[in-house]
Amino acid sequence: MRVCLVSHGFPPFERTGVENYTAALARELAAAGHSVEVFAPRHAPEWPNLAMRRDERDGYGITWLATNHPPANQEEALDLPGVGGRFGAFLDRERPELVHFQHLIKLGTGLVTEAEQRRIPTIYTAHDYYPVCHRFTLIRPDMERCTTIGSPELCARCDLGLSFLNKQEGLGDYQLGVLPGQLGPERQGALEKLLAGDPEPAGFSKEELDAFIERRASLDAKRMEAYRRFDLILSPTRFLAERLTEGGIDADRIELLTYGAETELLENVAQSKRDGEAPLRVGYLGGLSKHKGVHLLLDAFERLNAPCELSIWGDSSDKNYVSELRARAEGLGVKWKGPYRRSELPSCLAEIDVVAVPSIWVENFPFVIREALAAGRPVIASDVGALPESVRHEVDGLLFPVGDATQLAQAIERIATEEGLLERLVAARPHIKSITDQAAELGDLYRKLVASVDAESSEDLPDSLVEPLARYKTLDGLPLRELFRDVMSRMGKVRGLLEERERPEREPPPAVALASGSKAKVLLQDLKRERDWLRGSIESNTQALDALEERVAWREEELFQRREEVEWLRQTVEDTKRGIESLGEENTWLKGLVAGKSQGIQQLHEEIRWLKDSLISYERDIVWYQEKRRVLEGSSETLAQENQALRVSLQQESARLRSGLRTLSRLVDDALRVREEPLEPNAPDRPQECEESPEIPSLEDLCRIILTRNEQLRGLLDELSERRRNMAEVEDRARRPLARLWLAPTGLGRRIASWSYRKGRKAQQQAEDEGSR
Amino acid sequence: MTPAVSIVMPSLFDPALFEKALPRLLEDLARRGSGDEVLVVDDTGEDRIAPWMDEHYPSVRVFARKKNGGFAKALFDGIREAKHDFVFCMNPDILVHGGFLEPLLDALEDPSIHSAVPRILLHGDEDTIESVTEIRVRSGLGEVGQPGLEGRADEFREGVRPVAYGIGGAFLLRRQEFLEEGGCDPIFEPFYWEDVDLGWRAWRAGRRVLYVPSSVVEHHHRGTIKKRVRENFVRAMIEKNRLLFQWKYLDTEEEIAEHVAALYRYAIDAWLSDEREELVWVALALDQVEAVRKSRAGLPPAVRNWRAIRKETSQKSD
Repeated sequence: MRVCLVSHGFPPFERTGVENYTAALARELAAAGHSVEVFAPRHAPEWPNLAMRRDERDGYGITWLATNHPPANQEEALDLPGVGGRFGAFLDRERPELVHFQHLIKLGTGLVTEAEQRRIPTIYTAHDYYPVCHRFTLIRPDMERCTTIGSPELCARCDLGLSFLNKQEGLGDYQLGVLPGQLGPERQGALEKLLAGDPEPAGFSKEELDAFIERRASLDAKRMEAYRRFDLILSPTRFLAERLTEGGIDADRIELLTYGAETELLENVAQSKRDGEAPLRVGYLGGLSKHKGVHLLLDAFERLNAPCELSIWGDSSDKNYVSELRARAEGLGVKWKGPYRRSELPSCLAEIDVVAVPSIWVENFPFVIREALAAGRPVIASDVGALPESVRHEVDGLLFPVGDATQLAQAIERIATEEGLLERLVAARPHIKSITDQAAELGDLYRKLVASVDAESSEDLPDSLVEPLARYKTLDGLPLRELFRDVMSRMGKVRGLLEERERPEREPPPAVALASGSKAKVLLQDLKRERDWLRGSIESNTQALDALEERVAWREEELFQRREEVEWLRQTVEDTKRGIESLGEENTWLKGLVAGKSQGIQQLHEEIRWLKDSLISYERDIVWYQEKRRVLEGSSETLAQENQALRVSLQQESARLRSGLRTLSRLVDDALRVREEPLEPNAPDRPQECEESPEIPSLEDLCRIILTRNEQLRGLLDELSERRRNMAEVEDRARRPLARLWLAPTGLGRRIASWSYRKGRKAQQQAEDEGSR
Repeated sequence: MTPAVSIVMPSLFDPALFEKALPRLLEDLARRGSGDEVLVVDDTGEDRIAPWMDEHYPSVRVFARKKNGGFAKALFDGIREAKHDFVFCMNPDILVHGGFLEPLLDALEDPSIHSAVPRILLHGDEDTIESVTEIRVRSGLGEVGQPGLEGRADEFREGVRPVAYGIGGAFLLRRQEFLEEGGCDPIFEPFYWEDVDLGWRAWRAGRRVLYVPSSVVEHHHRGTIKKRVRENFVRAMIEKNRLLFQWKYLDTEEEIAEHVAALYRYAIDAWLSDEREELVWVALALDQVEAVRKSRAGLPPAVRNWRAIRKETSQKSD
C-alpha cells in the first residue's frame, strides 16, 4: 500500500518524540512492504520558499517542503499560505492511497482539504491536545493546567496572556508560559487577573479581550472543522480521547491505539544491578521545557536523604530555563549530560536505574516511558493527565502528586532504600509493543480504511468499461517516478513495432527526442528567464519597498503631526465655540451696557445742559454774592455800630437798672417792713409778696434779651465769614486758566457756575432756615 | 426509388434522446417509402430498451446485446442484424433533416466510395460543421483536425469532398463490406477513434470517404459516457487510441523516426513537468503494443501510405 506520513518535523532536523516516532514508523512500514512517503516541512533558507526536495532513506522517501517564512498571524499559522497547494502537488506526484497525519502545525489545515479533494482517506494520530487547545498542552501562560475545553473566552484569555508576556523582558522562551516568580508579584498578579477575566491590570481593555474572544472562536472553529474531516483519529490514551470528545470530535471516529517503541534498540540494554551501598541512579531524558518539570526534579534532589545520583539528558529552545537548570544542577552535583542522539538512548538508559517523568502538564503518552520500561527501567511519574495509563503505581513504577517535590523525593528515596522494590518494579514491567508490531496494526487499519472508501466510491459502470477503468486507475495511482520508469522501460516496444528492421546506426530515440526540442527544456529556459526577471524585479521591488517604507514612516510621522494638529484644532474649535458663546453673552451685556451708556450720555447731555444753565446761574450768583458781600460788609459795619450802641445802651440801661434795683430794693425793704410790722412783729425773715411793676423788666429778662441779641449778632458774623469764603473760592476757580477756558465761555461752564450757585444758595437757604428755626 | 436503408443506432438507453430523435427520423423514412428500418442496439446488457420502444415507437426494431460491449461491438452486432445493404450508423443524439439519406446513397453509387458522411451541424449551428475531417501531425504526433469547427464552415456548405473518415455518429456504409472487414478494430475499445480507423483503413485500401454537405443532420452532443465515468478517463481513452492509430498506420521511415522521438520527448517532458496524465496515456497505449502488432499485421497491402492519405484528405483552404 502506498502510504504518506505527514509530520511537522523530521530527523535529522527535528528530533523530539513525535518526529523520531514518525521516522521509526516510516522505516517499519517500508520494511513491512508498504510504499512510504514522508511529507515534512523544513526551514531551508538555501532553497526557495515552498520548494520541494525528495530524499530516500531506509526504504522510504521524504519530501521536504521549505517553509522559510513564519506565519504572519494566527490565521496563517492555522493554514500556512501556499503549503496546502504544494501538498496537493505532492499528492498528485506520489499518489498515496492513504495519508496518515502526525501533526498539522507548521503545515496547516489546508493539507486535509487537499487530501479530501483527491478522495484520499486520512488518519490523524493525536500526540497532544492541539485539536482542542491551540497551545497544545492545556497549560495556561501561568503554567496552570486548564480544565475547560472548548471555551473561546478562556482560550482568548490565554492568547491575551501570551500577548502580555510578549511585552515583558528577560523571560526566555515563554511560549508555554512562565513559572511563578519569573514575573515578580505585580506582573504575576496582573497575569492572574487577566486569566481570570480582568484584563485591565495587565494593560488591556475589555474591548481588546472581546476582540480576542471573537477571533479565537473563529480560529478554533476552523481548526476543529479540519479535525472533524479526518476519517479516523487515533489516540494512544483514553485521557486524550476523552478530551478530544469533549472538544467536539465524534467519539465514533476515535480509536485507541498505543504507540510502539523501538524495542529492538533497547533489548540489549544491560539490566541495572545495584548493590546495597551503591547510590540509586535516577535519570531524566527528554525536552528541557518548563512544563516537563525538571526544576521540580532538582527541588526533589535537594531534599533527598538517600544516596542518589541524578543525570539529565536533553535540551530545548528555552535557553534561559536550560541555563538556569544547568547552573543549579551543577551546583547540586547533578550530572548534566546535554542533548543526546537517538542512537545513544540505550547507552543513556544503561547508565541509570530509574527514569523520572516529573511533568507538570497533562502528559499524554511519553515515548520515554515506553523506552524506559522496554529497557527495564521503572518510571517515577507525576499522577497527571494520561501518565497513570502508562505507569502502574507500585507495579512498574511509582506515581507522585503532580508538582509535589517532597513526594517525588520520597518516591525516589523509597526505591533507593526499600529493599527489593526496584527489582519488583522491574520484574512487573509490561510487554512493550514494538514499532514493528504497531506498523503491522496500522497496516491493517490502512487496508480497512482504504477498502471502505473504495466501496463508497465504486461507480455503476457498463461492463465494457470496467477493465479499462481499472487499468487506468492502476496507472493513474502510481507515483509519478514509477509511472515514468514504466513508460520509458516499455517505449522500446513501439520502436520495435514500427521499425521493422534494425538500424543500429541511428541515434538513440531519447537523444533525438531531446535534441529536436523539449517542452520541458523550453519551460526550464523560460523559468530561468522568469527567475532572473523576478530576481531583478524583487531587487527593484525591495528598493521600492524600502523607499515606500521610508515614505510610510515619514507619512506616519506626518500623520502623527496632523493628528496632533487636528486635535489642537479640535480643541481650538471647542475653545472658540466657547469664546463665541461668551462673546455672545458679552455682546448682549455690552448691548445692554451701550443702551445704558446711551441713556447715561443722554443724561449727561441733559446734565451738561443743566450745568450750563447752572453756570449762568452761578455767574449771576457770583454777582449776587459780590453785591451781597458789599451789603453784608455794610451790614457788618452797621451791626458793629449797633453793637456799640447796644453796649452803650446796655451800660446805660444797666446803670439805670442798677439804680432802679437799688431803689426797688429800698422800696421793697420799706414795704416789707411796713407790712410785717402789723402782722408779725416777731417775724422779720418772712418774705413779702410784691406786685410786679409792668414798666420794669426783670433782670433775668434783660439778661435773656441781651444774650439773644448777642447770639444773633454772632450768627450774622458767621454767615458773613462763610459768604466770604464762598466768594473767595469761586473767585479762585474762576481765576484758574483751564476753568476759565472751559467754563467761562461754554455752556458747561455756565452750567457749573449755575449749579454751584444754586448749591450755595441751597446751603445758604438751609442755613437760613435752620438759623430762623 | 432509392434503396432501402437500415438505421443502426447503438444505445445505452436514454429515452429523452429517443423522444427527440426518433419522430423526425421516422417521419423522413416514411416520406421516403423505401422500406427503411430503424434498429436500436440495446447495449445496456439488461434488455431495457425493447419494452419502452414497444410502448412508444413500436415500428422501431430493438436488438438487445446480452452484455454491454461498447460502441464498436454494438455497432457490429447492429449492422450484422440489419436487413438492408446500406446502413446508416446513427447515434441517438443525432437529429436528421428531411432528405438526409438520398445524397448519401447517391454518393455510394460509386463503388470506390467506402462511406459517406453528411454535413453534421454541432448543436444545429450552421457555422459549426463536425464532419469535415483530416489527420494533422504536430511534432510527430497525429491528431484529428475539424476545420469546420475552426471558423471555416463557409468553405464546407457545398461541394462533396474527401474526408479522412466518416464520423461514427452519422455515416452511411455498405453492410456486407463492413462485416467482411470484421467491423471496428477492437484495439480501440472501449470508445473513440474506431470511426477514424474505419475511414483510414478504407483510404489505405484504395477506397475513399466522402463528405456530402447536401445531407444534413444535427448533433446535439450529450456526452452520455462522460456522465458515467470521470472525464479524465474518457480523455485517456481518446489519447490512448490516438497513439494506437498512428502505431497501426505509420509506414514511412521518416515519419516513424519523428514519431518515436516525439514519444520519448512526450514522456520526458511529462515527467519533468509533473504531467501525470500524459504518461498514463502513453502507458495505456503501451499496454496494447502486441495487439497493435497483430492488427498491423492483418492489414492488406497498402494502396496509399500514411503520407498519401493525409495529402488526399487534407482540408487546406482552396
